[in-house]
Amino acid sequence: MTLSPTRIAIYTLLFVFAALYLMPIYVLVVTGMKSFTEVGLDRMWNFPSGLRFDSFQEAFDSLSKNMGNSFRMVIPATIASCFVGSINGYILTKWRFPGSDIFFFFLLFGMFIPYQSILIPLVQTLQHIHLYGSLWGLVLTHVIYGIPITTLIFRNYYAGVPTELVEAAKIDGASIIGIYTRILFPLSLPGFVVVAIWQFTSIWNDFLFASTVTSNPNTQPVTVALNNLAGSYIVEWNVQMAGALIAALPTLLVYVFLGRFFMRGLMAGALRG
Amino acid sequence: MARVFYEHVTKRFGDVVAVNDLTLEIPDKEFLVLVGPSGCGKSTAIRLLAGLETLTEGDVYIGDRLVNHVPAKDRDIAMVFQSYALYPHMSVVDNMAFGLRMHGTPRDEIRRRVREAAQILGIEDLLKRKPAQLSGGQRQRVALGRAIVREPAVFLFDEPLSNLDAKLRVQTRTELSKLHERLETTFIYVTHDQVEAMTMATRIAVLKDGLLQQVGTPEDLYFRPGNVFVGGFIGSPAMNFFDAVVKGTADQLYLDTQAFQIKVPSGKARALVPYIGETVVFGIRPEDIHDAEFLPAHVRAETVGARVDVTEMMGNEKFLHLIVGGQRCLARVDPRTRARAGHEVQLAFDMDHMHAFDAQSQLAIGAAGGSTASASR
Amino acid sequence: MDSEAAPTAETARGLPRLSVPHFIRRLTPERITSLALIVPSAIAVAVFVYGFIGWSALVSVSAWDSVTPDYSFVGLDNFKELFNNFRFQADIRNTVVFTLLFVTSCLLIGLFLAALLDRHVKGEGFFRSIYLFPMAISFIVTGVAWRWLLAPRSGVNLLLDHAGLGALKQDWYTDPTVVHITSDSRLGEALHAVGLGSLASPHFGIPLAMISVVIAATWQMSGFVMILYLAGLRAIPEELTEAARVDGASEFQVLRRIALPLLRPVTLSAMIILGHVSLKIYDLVVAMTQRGPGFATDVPALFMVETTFQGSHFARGAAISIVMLLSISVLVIPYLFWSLRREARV
Repeated sequence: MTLSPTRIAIYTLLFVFAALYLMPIYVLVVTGMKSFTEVGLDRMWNFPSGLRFDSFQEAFDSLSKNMGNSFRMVIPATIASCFVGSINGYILTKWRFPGSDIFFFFLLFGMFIPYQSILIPLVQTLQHIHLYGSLWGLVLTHVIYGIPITTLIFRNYYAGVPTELVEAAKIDGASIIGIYTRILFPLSLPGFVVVAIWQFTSIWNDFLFASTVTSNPNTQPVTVALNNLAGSYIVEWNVQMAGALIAALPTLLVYVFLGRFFMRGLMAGALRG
Repeated sequence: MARVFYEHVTKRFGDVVAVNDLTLEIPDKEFLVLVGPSGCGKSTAIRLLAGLETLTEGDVYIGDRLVNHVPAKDRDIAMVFQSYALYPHMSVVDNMAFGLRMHGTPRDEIRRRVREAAQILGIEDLLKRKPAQLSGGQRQRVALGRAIVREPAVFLFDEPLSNLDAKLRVQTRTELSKLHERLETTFIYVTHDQVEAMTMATRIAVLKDGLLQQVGTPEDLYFRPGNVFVGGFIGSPAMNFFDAVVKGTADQLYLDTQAFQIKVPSGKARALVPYIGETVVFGIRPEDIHDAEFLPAHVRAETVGARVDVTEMMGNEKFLHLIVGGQRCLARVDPRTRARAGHEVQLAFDMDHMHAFDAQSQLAIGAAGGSTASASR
Repeated sequence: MDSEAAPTAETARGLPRLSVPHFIRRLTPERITSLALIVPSAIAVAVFVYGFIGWSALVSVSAWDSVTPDYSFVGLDNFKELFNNFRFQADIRNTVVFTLLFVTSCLLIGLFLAALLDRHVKGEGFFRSIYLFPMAISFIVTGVAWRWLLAPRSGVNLLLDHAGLGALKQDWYTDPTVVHITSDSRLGEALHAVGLGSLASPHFGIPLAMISVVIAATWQMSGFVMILYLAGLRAIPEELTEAARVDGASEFQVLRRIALPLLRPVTLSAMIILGHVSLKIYDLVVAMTQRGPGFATDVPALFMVETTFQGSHFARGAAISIVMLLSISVLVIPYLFWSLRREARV
């Protein structure tokens, strides 16, 4: 296939933009692999002299406990979020009641609020129920504030499942829960994938709740720890950059391996509106 | 006992009346087809029976049981949906067995019924497959199988043939009729296609805008339509209608449309005598209008002249699209006709098969066999 | 929904009818279960969203200014003080500037990339993944990375030097300049003449430092907009674009006159999502620039957290959060209405 000038222009532009988008990662990786003596403001773009992983080791040592915290928090939160959203989406599409739409409107609005407006009462409430400062408090927080977006995604997904399936199951004798477990849940995998990826990423990357609900550096998730690391004056930047990469690694890996399903879900309109 | 009785059933969705005071009794083992244009309420009627919608007013009986508040699964019905509604993640066997499992049927009983149904429908080889691996026709059989294994008191069909291609549709029609004979159970079938109704039904119920127009055998509806709507809906191509003034005397009655005048035979004239001087709707089917030159022997006809607009050769007959005094009509004539587009032709109206309807009420005038239901408007 | 006429004591066929109250009959076991399944979420949202917002609203009109709560009512005083507060005024200006620049650049770049990728490009998946991956990263990581990239003595400036374009170097986020109409310029004098002199001040200018934050944020979110546009472009039936080409339209005209109008719902959705992200922006600023020189990159979210958790000015913090909430509501509530109405019609 001969390349017309237009095609050449298109590919050039695509590569240029790709380079622009990858630039920050290049900087992070390259700096992370330099030794302290090599790191310098004026030598940021230079390749490291060798592949050294010392900074990564050091960063990992500082961050490993927080990484563990993040995992212990994100995984239960994601799983719970998925199921809550799924059941809500199921009821709202297949068992509508008078006022379903208004209810959904109020639910959706919860997705847009600035979380600053609920921080103080949240902290107070968590203190009341003795969950303040703990990872479970964070799990509860994320599951509750994840209700709007997970319900939205599942609602859009289940709207695409023909109602006749539910009606046939009704006639066949399945109960409302039976219809969910036997008919809808087995068909929900794409929905679960999109919600799980989205929630895993949002919750892992959250900073505001993480820094507010947990105050002890030993219990804090990695986003807070990274910010502390990166703001410190005594930590060298190669370590900071390495730390940033390590903190970003889980979500990047999820994206690399499962991103295609996520994109498929997005393009199929999971997040429309 | 599996007869079905709708008693003054009304269903409203907000301001819209989908089903309007429907009273209809369906004896056991009947194949009743609910037919009408889209929006006429036929789907709603069947869904009310299934328990997928709640009644606004009235009562529904299955057998002698009042089922208004009985949940769908306990009504002893089975339903075949337009899009088959097969569970995509289950094999054919599991699809068919699902309902029985939910109702607690013992496992060997399930196995027996599934095997039998699969035999009847010829789908034994497909049992392990999933719906996605089946063709449209095969999926439809599985949907039928799922209904058959339930051994219900009533089978409900919601436009099951609409998603099949034309050839398959014709084939499946005969199979459904045979199935009905074999199973000896009440079939209630919804369609918008009057051909399906005419070919399969023991009785047909015509609905329009939520109101029952007429109930009767196919012959009743064809030869003795109770109102203009039924006259025009049943039979394809549709009946021709003319506004006509009744003139003359009891012995010499004739109809005067703007375009032509035509004598009414004595057998029909009696019923029209009260309408002398008034306008009525005169109906005549295309198959009852002949080319005067090729008139079948037994037909006594009145001739009318008309201009031919378009001719369509159908093989065994020709369709003549005609213009009579500014009005359009259609005739199905002997294929040997010499009528050509743009030319005049002499037509013979077989007035023994004429229909007349009251211009106000739209109801048929004269002896009408079969049960006619409430007024059409 | 549906209405039921009063049932008669006997059915028309003479069989006796059970006398059960009308509303109880509609409470089938299924209806009860469905409501029971949704009630926990309903309560959680009612309390944790609306209850808490109400609480914040209460605090915002109270006198709570130290570690000990003080709920005495002070009306709108906190709000009045806020709007007279220099830092908050800077925050408002910064938010407006950031929102306009961020949303516009994301839309333009997202649309541009989607238009490029929609043309049967080999390796489309590869490029798509590259443009989208920043979305998977935390704003904190983005902030850290771009802080170094746009550090004046390093990063991009260094590249420019190497490329011989040293003249283009910027102070990026350390730049305290706020580009505004000065009082002694011609436009400034004209404004003074019509009594709009206050418009000729830094309050209505563009803080250059904010541009760095815009760049980082756009890097993060433009891929998402691209995906939305790509899906939208793919949803346009081929026949429409083909008919336009047959009619003689150039590619650009096809995009502008056929695709863009059809993409309006996508643009609207993207604008709302981006808009609400930018009104809430916090993590990125915390990690990248903090408040910036002379509050050049300060944002309400940052002000709120500092004033509440470091200064213990709870009432003032609550007031800031309420202002944020109201400004988001203005954007989001009409959109939700429009969006849900559209669905109902379909």
